[in-house]
Amino acid sequence: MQNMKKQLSFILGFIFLAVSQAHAVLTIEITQGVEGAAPIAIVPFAWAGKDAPPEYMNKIIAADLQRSGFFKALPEEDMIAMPSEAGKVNLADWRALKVDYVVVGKIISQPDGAFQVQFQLLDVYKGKQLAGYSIRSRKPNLRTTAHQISDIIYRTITGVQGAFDTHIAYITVTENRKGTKLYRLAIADSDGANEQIVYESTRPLMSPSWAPDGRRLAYVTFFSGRPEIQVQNILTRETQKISGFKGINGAPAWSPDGRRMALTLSKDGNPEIYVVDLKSKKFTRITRHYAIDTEAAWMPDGNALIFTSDRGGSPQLYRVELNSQGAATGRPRRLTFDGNYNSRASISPDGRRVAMVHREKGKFQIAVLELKTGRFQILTDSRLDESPSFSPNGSMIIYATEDNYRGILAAVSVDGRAHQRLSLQMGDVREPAWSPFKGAVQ
Amino acid sequence: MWQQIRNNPRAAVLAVLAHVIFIVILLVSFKFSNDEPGVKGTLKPKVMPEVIKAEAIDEKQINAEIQRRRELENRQQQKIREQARRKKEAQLREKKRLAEKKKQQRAEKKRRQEAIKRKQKEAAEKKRKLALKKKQEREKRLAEEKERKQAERKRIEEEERKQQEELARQEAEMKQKLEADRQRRDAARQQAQRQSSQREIGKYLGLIKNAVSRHWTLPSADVNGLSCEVKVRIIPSGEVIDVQIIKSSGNLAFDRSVETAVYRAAPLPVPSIESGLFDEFREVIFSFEPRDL
Repeated sequence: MQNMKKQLSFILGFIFLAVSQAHAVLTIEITQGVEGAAPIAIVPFAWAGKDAPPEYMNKIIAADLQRSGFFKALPEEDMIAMPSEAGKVNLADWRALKVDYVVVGKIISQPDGAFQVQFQLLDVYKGKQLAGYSIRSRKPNLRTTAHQISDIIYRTITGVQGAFDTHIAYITVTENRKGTKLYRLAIADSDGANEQIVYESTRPLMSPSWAPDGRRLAYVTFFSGRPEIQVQNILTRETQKISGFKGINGAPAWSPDGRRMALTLSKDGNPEIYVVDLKSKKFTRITRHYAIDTEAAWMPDGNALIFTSDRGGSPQLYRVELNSQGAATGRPRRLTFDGNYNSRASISPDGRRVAMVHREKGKFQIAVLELKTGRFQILTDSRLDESPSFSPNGSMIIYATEDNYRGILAAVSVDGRAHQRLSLQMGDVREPAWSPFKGAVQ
Repeated sequence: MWQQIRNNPRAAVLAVLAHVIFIVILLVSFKFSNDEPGVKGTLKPKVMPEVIKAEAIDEKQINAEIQRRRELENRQQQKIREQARRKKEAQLREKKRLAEKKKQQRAEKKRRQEAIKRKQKEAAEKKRKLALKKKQEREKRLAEEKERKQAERKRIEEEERKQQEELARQEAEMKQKLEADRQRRDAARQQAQRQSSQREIGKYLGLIKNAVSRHWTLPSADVNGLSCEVKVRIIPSGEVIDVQIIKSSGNLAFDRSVETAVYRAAPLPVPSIESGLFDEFREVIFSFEPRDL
């Protein structure tokens, strides 16, 4: 009814418009769209070999794009043609299938055993090629090549850098037959594939945090029997102890410039936020409150921290400004007012949003607060979601959730529209952390 | 000469007489002289051998005689000369007179001829003048006639013109009235048409809006504050042949979603060419601006 009314007023509006401007160009105002994703067809890449192709590039790309929430990949079985190059694409076929974009490609094996992966991205309606590349790769890297292609497609269509060719770090916990728990720090491709163990221990591991260079991880280890923060180079496996104070040493967070680290120490009585200069090893206390202050996250400009504190009676997010030396310049200011539980901030790379764990009706969910507008949105609807972490392009949030009492990883688009579970890892998976872009500075 | 003699017979007779007398005188005188010393007239002295019989003659006498003879001779010669002179003079006079007469005659003739000529000339002149006058009169008459006729014609024309003008005026008035009526009718019809056209256009705009809205996939739920305007070119089949961004949202994904929405919605519901309304839809601007409900 209301819809009809709206429509009527619309039509009347047009009549008025048309009458008042006899020869003006007609203007149609569209104020509503549908929830959904842009349909895209990733045609299986042609492979001249007799055996199965070395990698099903199209499946990797389709999964990537679909995970972003921005795209909906056309199932292979719905395709009426499988061209491998733009010249052989009949646009009418794809229009009939109601896809907006088509990706065609081929894998060509090279004499030296390498592969040349060619692909073209076409705009079905405009009938024009939007992107086309040929990438040299080798068998172990073909997945990475597929993610790179996903990045190119994503960037070409959305104008935003893709974050498919990135990594996630996380903690897994497995139990052997004897009932001994094994904790592992692992990294994998952003889609969960290519898992590699960075560090393992029979004692708990917690809170992995990426260095801005994407080559080091800071985390909490209990290998000595009590919590310590250490940094490990993921390539060399070298480790370096950062802090091992009495009491809690937790929640490390690298500053955006990589020179400092925020962490939680209870060496002075109760958990407070500190910033340590990684070079001078000088610790600066940021918070002074009898309540718990923890889980600091850096604003992208490095001039403020957002942390969790129960100083107001229940856990909420607070913000404290820092000077260039990494010292607090004012009293922490409360940021969240929705509900009685908001914790574990992750700040989007553009600094516009803060993702957090929000408790609503006894369920812990991932929510996002828009800092400028104060708009608060709950993105997930599970029972126990935790540890949100923004993708480096800010479009996705990875988090841990549980499935059949087992911890798993899931991702949600920042607008809450796309939900994906990352199938894969063994055991209980916790505390994911999304890496920076590859080749990021420092 | 003969003519002159004929013309003056008396003079001719006199002239002959004078000659005769003169000749006689001459002959007589010779006799006289011959008679004297014995010479008879019958004698031919020349043949006579004794011409000279020296008779003494007084020289004085001879001289005198000679003198006398000479004088006589002179006189005679003088007389002859005189006569010749007179005759010549007379002839000259006569000639002169004749010439004079002739001249007079010629002059007279000339005069007469001239008079005739003058008279002829005068007559011709008179005739010419008369003719001219006549001609002028005729021309004048003709001109007057012409003028009169022209005036008449002009008058008639003027009258006709006035009549026509009046007719034209009446016709124009009538036409104006008819036109006004027509316009009133047309305006009413157009008004009705326009109203129904606007209703029709509005209807199609609503249909298009619905179709495009249905096909517009918002690139993200986070599109508040974004807006994009596109100019869409549509052909009568409803197919979209061009979508041009005229006001970008600044967000590539949003802009793309807008372009794609229009293409996806095609063929758009547009009025038929026959309805006369399609032209309004050849180029339509779509303004995409999501609003929270």
